[in-house]
Amino acid sequence: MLLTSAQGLALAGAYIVVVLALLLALVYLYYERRKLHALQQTLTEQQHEEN
Amino acid sequence: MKTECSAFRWGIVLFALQLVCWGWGLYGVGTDVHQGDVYRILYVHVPTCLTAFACACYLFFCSIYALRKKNAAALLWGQAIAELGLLFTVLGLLTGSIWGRVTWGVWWTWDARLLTTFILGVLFAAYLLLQKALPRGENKIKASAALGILIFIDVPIVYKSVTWWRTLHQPPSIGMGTLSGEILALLLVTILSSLLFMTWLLCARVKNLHLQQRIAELVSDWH
Repeated sequence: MLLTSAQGLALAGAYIVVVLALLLALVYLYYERRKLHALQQTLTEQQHEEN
Repeated sequence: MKTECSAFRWGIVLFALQLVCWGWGLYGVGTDVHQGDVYRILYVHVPTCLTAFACACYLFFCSIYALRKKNAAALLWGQAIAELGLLFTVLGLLTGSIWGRVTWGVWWTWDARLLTTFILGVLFAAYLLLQKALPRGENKIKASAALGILIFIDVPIVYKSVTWWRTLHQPPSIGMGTLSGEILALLLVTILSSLLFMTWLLCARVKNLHLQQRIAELVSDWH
């Protein structure tokens, strides 16, 4: 749709910026949560072993 | 892995709702007689800006709570809100800049609306820097809360800037009767879905910050 015109490019650019930013935020939070859960589990297990 | 997937199910649903709204905005509604198809940037620009305003409102209530209860946990919420506020302000400025390039012929101009929105972004960034810079304690709570309240004060200034000063920016889109019923209805649904998604992102980020704090406590207990 209109991708050859300046208006179409602007429209596509604006949507791509927002969709990518919000998708990145979602993915970042997901991987951060996974990493933190794994780290917490490892630390708790190591503490149990030491005790 | 399974826990994370279920926790993020709502996030994916709300993001999908946003995609549906934007898809509808691109293909489901008619073209504007004055601006043509480029007016459809409205469906990304207005929700992101209003969501940034909502972040400032959340931050205001969070700051009042922190001041009244002297509660350090409110700082975690404050941090997450400011991060999202900064994200949505930057997105609002970027989409507005793209729209401005097509309609005004410039990417940026020192217009009152743009300047006050830029200040909002700077204040969100300042809030995050302040939280990083200050050591734990009552002073940190007070300083963060004061800045949180200042950020909230900027919101009505941003909103009214187009009526208080002569600006290139158009008057508010909602409540002026300039939008057709179809466009306005979709815009309101998109704003609502954006607010819901931001609230979900906020809860997810706060949970991650809590986890980070718990891990730091575990490590310090260990040593």
